[in-house]
Amino acid sequence: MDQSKFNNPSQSTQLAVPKRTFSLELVVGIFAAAGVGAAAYLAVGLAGLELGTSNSYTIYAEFDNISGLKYGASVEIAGVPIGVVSDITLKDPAARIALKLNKSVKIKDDDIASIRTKGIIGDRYVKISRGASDTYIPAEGTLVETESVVDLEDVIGKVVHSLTGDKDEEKGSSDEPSKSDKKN
Amino acid sequence: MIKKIAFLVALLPLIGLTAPKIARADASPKADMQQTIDQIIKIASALPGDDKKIERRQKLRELINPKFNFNEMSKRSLGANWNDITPQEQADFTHVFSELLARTYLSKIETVKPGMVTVESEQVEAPRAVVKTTVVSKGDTFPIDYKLMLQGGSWQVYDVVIENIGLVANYRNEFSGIIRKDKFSGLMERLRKKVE
Repeated sequence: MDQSKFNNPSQSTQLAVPKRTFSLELVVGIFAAAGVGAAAYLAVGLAGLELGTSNSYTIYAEFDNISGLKYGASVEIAGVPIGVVSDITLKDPAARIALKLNKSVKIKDDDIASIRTKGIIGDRYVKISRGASDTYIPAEGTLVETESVVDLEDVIGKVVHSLTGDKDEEKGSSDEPSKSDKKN
Repeated sequence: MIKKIAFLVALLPLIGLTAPKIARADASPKADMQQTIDQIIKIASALPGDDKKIERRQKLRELINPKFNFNEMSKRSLGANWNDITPQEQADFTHVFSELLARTYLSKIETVKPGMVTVESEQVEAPRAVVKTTVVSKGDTFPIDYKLMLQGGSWQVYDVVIENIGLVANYRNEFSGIIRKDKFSGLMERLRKKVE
């Protein structure tokens, strides 16, 4: 009713037009709604949220060092992705990560989770090597056996130092100034 | 009456024997580790030189054997393959693998000197614990973590982690590769060759 009143100034010649506009508006409305729906679906998908019943479960694992491991990194057994890292928190002084895993894959309590690198400079991922236990870790349980990131720079540094014996010389040189300071 | 007293007196030594065992379950794995290291240093310094090598290693083995759970280490090192072999094969593997471990590590352990190993901290979440140590060698410090489990009232090591690289994880990787190529018999052959 309001609409026809509003359209009154447009005279009788355009009387047929409101009907057509109505159906056009409907189509545009449906199109816009579909667009918003698709955007919402995309947002949810990108954020990694899951709606409705999920076919995954979460377990936790603690590491001394997870340097370079990112949210969403893959969890693999024998190179086959079985889940993702769904949360990283600090449980001072350790790191606690949540692994969201495919429900069809059960983790045993002597499975070892190691943080490894794909290639030499590739992304970090969580590798799980299979144990022999009969006990499975329940959902929300914690995997105890973990191996932290191996800091290659640290290891190379140690090898270099042990080859050149630089450390002792450095110590010697740093001691000297303090001695001379005392003399002064 | 006298019989009863005699019976109780006869029981006394038994109580005396079992008491330390119960107490050891409460003993912290850190203190236990420190004690073992002290004993290793004692044995190593008491029997120096190459001519006493056999006696020294024998004594070190007697000291260290009960501190390690070789059965658990073997099982974990084989990983999923452990369930695919017969109990007899499991026993054979455990025997050869613990022999290999003992041979590999005794030569390192006997070089320990006072002040080389520091027991840093312990995290106990019974029935498991982690004892962190650092070893100073040639001016560099290496972190070595021992993972222990409570077994029959005492703490036993089931994994050693050096520089964040776990012994069990390392062997598990290596062994599964060998088993896939040469089957379990191939792995046993290789291990036996190393031990002989």
